[in-house]
Amino acid sequence: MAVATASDHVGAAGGHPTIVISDVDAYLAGPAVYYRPPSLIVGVGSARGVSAREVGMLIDEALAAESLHSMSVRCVATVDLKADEEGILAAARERGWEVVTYPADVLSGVEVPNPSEVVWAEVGTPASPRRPRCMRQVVRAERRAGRREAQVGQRHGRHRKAAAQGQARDRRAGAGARDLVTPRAITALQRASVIVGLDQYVDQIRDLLRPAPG
Amino acid sequence: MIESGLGQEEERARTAVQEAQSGNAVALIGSGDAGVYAMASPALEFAATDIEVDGVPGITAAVAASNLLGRTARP
Repeated sequence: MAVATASDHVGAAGGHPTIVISDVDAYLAGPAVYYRPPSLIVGVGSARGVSAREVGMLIDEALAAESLHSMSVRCVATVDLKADEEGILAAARERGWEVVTYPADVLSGVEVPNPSEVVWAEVGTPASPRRPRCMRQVVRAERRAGRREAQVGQRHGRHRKAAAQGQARDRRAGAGARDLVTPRAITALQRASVIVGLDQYVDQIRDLLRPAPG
Repeated sequence: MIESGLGQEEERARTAVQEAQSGNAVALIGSGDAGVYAMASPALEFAATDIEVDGVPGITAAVAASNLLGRTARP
């Protein structure tokens, strides 16, 4: 068995059964399991009154243009003024993505290859406090049509690493599946009086805990 | 219940050890297996001999995924 990552996976495994961890929408000839890490963030900007179809098509085209897999999209990011823009919300909802909003002054600190006057959202870098900390300034794809645009960026490295271990908080099957929690782990949880953990993991097992005394 | 965010792994491990040292039964939880790039190492590092640390094995994503291989290989 071989494990391949985004940078080397295509053609590298030579027909052996392979686990591919990649957001690139490419397939090996041999047997393989593809794990799509939640490594991408789609920044969306639009004029008021955009339709879900227009936004959806633009995002799909932006991903397809760079062969990026939609299952690797973690969320849609946009400016907070667009928090109620139904076209953006519906397009994200149809695809099962959450919408994350940022104030304009945070987004304006993020560099994009082709700056636009249109409202836009893009990925940032931890190097500057004005940019969203969870993101990195690598633009993987960009698409514009009329007064709409979609940009696909890559999340910060540490999150990618976490994702590759199945630690991502999302709905995909993986080692987060409830029926893969061992009986021994459940017993240990129920014996404990104090639970310490990452917030998103605590959420996953909260219902297994015994009620607090008193 | 003590929860914290990404990037506070060492602090979480320290907290868990401190809680155990003050006499509590503590569960330090994570995804996958505690020994695979996870919380076992920092917890064991901070724990002295005054507390007992039990590792509970978990099914990590790579193991779960490898079991899908046979299925996808067949036509």
